Amino acid sequence: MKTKHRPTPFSLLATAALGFALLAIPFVGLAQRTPWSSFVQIATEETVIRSISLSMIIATSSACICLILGIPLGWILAKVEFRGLKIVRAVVLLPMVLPPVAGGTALLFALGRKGFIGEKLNSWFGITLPFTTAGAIIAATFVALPFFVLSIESSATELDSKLEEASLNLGASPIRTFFTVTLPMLRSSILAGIALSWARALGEFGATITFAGDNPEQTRTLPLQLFVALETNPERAMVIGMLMVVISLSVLVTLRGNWLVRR
Amino acid sequence: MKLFASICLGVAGLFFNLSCSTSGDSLRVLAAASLTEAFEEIADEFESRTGNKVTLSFAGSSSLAVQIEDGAPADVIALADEETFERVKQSGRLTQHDETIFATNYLTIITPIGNPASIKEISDLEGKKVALCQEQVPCGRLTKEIVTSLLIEIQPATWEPNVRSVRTKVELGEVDAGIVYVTDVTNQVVAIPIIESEQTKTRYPIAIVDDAEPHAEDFLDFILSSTGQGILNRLGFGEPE
Amino acid sequence: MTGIHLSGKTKLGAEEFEFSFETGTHKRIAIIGPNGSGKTTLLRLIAGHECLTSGSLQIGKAIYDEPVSECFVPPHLRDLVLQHQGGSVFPHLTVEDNVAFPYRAKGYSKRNARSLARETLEDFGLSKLKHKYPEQLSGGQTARVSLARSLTRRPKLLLLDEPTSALDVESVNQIHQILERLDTTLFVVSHDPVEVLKLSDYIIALERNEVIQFGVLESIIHQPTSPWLTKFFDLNLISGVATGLEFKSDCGELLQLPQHHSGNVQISFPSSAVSLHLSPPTGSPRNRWKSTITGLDRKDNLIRIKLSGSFDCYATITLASFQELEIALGNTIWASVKATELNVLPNTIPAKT
Repeated sequence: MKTKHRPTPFSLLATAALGFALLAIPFVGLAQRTPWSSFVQIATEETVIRSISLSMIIATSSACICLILGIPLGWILAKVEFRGLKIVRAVVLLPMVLPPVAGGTALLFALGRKGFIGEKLNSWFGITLPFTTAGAIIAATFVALPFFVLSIESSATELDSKLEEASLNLGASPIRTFFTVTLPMLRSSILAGIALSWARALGEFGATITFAGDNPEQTRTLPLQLFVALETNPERAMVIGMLMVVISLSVLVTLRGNWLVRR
Repeated sequence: MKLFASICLGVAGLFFNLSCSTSGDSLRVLAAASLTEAFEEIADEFESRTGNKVTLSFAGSSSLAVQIEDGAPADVIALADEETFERVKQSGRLTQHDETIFATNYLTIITPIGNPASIKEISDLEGKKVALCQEQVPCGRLTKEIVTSLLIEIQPATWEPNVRSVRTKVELGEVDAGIVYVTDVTNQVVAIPIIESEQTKTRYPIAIVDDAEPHAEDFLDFILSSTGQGILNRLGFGEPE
Repeated sequence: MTGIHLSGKTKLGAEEFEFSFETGTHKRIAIIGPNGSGKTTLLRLIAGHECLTSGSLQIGKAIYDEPVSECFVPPHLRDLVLQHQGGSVFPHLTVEDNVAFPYRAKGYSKRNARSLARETLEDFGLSKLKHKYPEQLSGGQTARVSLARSLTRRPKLLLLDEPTSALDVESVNQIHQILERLDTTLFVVSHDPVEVLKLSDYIIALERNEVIQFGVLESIIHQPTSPWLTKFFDLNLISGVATGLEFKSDCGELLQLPQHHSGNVQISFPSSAVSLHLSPPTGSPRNRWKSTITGLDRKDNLIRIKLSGSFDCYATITLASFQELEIALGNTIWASVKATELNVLPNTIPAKT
């Protein structure tokens, strides 16, 4: 093993190895039990393909919404001082610690057909969100957005505000400054945020099944498919589980690990 | 450093305790979600009469079957249909005792209060927003049986993982109707009977898992006794047939 | 006409600032003061990155910041540029795009902005660097790029926060040459007395978050109102003509210069660089002259001695050497200074008499 300057203490190495094992061993178990001979056949079943594409659509839309909503939110949390900042920050981070099922229930009370906003949406525009792909996207965004905001906020805090000031001094309006200076400076954390929120949205289960239900055409993503398969056809469940591991891992690796670790 | 070490020790100790906490003489009962209220009442009654503790754990029958297959600790298992029970038997953990049917149940339509979609019979569910049980759980299988036999086609808005979450979606008004057991009807919903379903009943099997606590047999006897049956009947369950 | 008239207070966190001065028609202004005396805050206040809590800021005829009338012109609408210490060059843009930035902000197309930027880079002799990114530049190059970028906005007012700190001598000279040519009103925060003498004719002196003195350079040099200012400006200034390595003072005294120069110049050297001798000194300091002691001033362990002769100057020596020399008012004495201690300035500032 290569170490940079000084030897790594053995006790740290051993503990780190234990931590890694805790994270890695379950996947070894999954890989070992996966029926590889029927992997391709199950993975290309029509219902599985539909779940994959639904998952992709939902995770990608959710990451896009995070991008649009999360950048201003993260930037304001980092840069603007106002009354109630701490409360706003706590609310933004709440979905990270809340069980997703609780989040899904809360979404039902707000945006469900009888929820205080959902009722208006329904009676004014005829829009109902539960049991639709749009609902699933909202549920996924609800749990993924905090990851994105956190990523933006932490790097916006470290951002050299002199550069933004310089831009203003050179005659650029605040909004132009935001787009031509602030955003490019936040580039790597935006990419990290996209990767994190995409991955989180892809794996979302609890809030989705609670708020968006399990509709084969609209909301049955890979995790929901996995849940059903677990009780009916364990082989299928293992294939779907493995499929999710492969998809998530390849995304995280192609988006380069170093975007997730601040340099 | 000292603090770190003591935290480590504490965590290790906790692990040891938790992994060994098979809680001595408490009876562990796994039961289908539709049995929630009935078994809670029966367990209370059983505890106060015999002084033996009962630990209950509820889930969809198919989830329970998976738990048994995966070796979850259990003394008694009660499911909502016989088909799922076959899977449990194949797990090889029910070799010492036979199962007994202790109750029956059948399905009904429920709608939110006021019945906003004006549902009168099962064929009205076509084209409506409906929540059904997923097909791998007994209520879902039973629903499918009835719907197919009546040549109706229902495209549910959502397949819920168990009968209780179907009821929740109806109670919240998120769907126009749902199909649940008659025993799941509350005053938060309106029940619309399905005439045909009274002939299509589901039978609830119960059995003692191998190497169970000695009190398991007493608990089973208690459920079959007039007291146990009385509670079940009062909550809407039919007598074993 | 871009005179600044500022009279107001502001508060940053727990710190309170009170600034009051005006610059009239002067176009070369230096802001000086010890570390943490509020110099940068003053620049930021003028640029609009901080706002007054009371009072008013007037630039030219326009009010820019006046809490009582709820008037505050936001920074991007102020016709001035504040150049931060270190230059604040955008790391994600090439040199060319950095310099084109003010044009883009004005609404020029990318192509036009870039071609104008290339002209500016040409003027600054930076054409070769146009496709480089800031991280590939040296400190001196960065400073020039930053200055070029500031000037493409053609500001009426250029605020510079220590434009030459941490630069090598060569780069400092380049920057000074550019600044001396400028027609724009300059506000320079500086820690270097020589830079202040070179670039400014008007001084705003700060201490403890307040303006303690402001006015034309001469008056501040001649009547400093604080020990810090006295020390900062403890410089001897002599006018004369330079020819190669030789300097001839207006009174005919000859001195050796460290570099080649020609024409009318002034030389400056700190009073502490002057040594005193009872007999004509020999050895390395060839710059020597005979003077009469016409003034003595003691501060703790230091004696400031006024020397008169063909030109007037000051020498600062320790009490011990003073006692060793056994000198008194009216005595004649030899003074000397090393050529390396001399700074040569263009002749714009009237010499101390």
